[in-house]
Amino acid sequence: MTEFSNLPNSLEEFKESKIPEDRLFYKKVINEILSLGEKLLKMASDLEEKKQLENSLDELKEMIEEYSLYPSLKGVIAPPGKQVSLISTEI
Amino acid sequence: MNHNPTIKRLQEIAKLHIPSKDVYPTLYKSFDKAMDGGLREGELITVSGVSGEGKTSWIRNLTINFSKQSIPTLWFSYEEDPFYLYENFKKIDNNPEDILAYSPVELISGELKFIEEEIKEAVEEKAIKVIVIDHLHFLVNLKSSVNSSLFIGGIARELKKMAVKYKIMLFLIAHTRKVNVGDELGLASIRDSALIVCESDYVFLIERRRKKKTAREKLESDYISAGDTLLNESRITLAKNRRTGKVLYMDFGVKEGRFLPITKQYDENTFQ
Repeated sequence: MTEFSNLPNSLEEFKESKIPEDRLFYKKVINEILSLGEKLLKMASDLEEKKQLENSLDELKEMIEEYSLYPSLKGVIAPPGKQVSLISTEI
Repeated sequence: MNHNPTIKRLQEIAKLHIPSKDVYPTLYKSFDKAMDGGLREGELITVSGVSGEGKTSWIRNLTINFSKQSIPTLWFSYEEDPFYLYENFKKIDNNPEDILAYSPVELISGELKFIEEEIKEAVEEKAIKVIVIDHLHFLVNLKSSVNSSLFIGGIARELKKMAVKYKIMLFLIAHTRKVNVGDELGLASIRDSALIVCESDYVFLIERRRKKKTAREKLESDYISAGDTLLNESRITLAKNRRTGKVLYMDFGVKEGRFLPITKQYDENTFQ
């Protein structure tokens, strides 16, 4: 568990919400925390403290990278298909 | 030496463009199968049909299907006032307040600049994945003297670019040109069709099914109802499919705005 596991319940509710808008809010809050954490990391001088913070940030980064805004779509993998051109060249 | 090169080795650039693995099913099995699982980010989908035959209704049904999968839709509803749009959602869903459908507070204009600003906000603030524009010809200044087909083609291209840029799926409703009763719809039926069809990844055509009257029934009919009888069924044809090339149609029973697939479905072999 990360040092951020004691987040308020309300934020947890955003995390678990089925509404992508709420989940996006949660993601933004975590990204804010991450950016604050990065700033703290630069200022930290105690090596032990620095290492701990670094680990926590890494865990949080990994978690947010895997976090889906569309929970029902999680795990749906596109079957191999033909590449669709980005912009049509047909006349 | 240029420290900010705008050209790099292809293998480096390719890493920046790994396609998303997410597929967004429409929940209509045959269509999803034909599209290799469903829709994908960056796709432009045109829905066309004769006025009043169910284009907007069907996309309302699709919005509900997406919503069931937590996929939100933003409607640019130029044809229906938001009040009536919501009223119509209420008719087809028992929990309309749970539908993940959104609308701009005010539809200020049909200019692409406005549409792009709203899409940007929708994606960044509301995690919107599907956009519906009802309908294409509201984006056109009909008083303008420029060649409208070319202009409309240009709009379709800009919308396709937006779909790619914002990683969304964009549904575009387009009217058909004048079609005679009984004529079958085809890609050429779409008003100002050529360039719209070219830019679209998928084209769906909607037509209300009709039952031909017998000669006797025609004789017995009064003047007004002398034509064929309209059925509560719609045929939706996937007429262009850039991903797999498969074209097919599905028949739907339509009851109070709800589209329910009729079990019997047809593949492209039947279609030909």
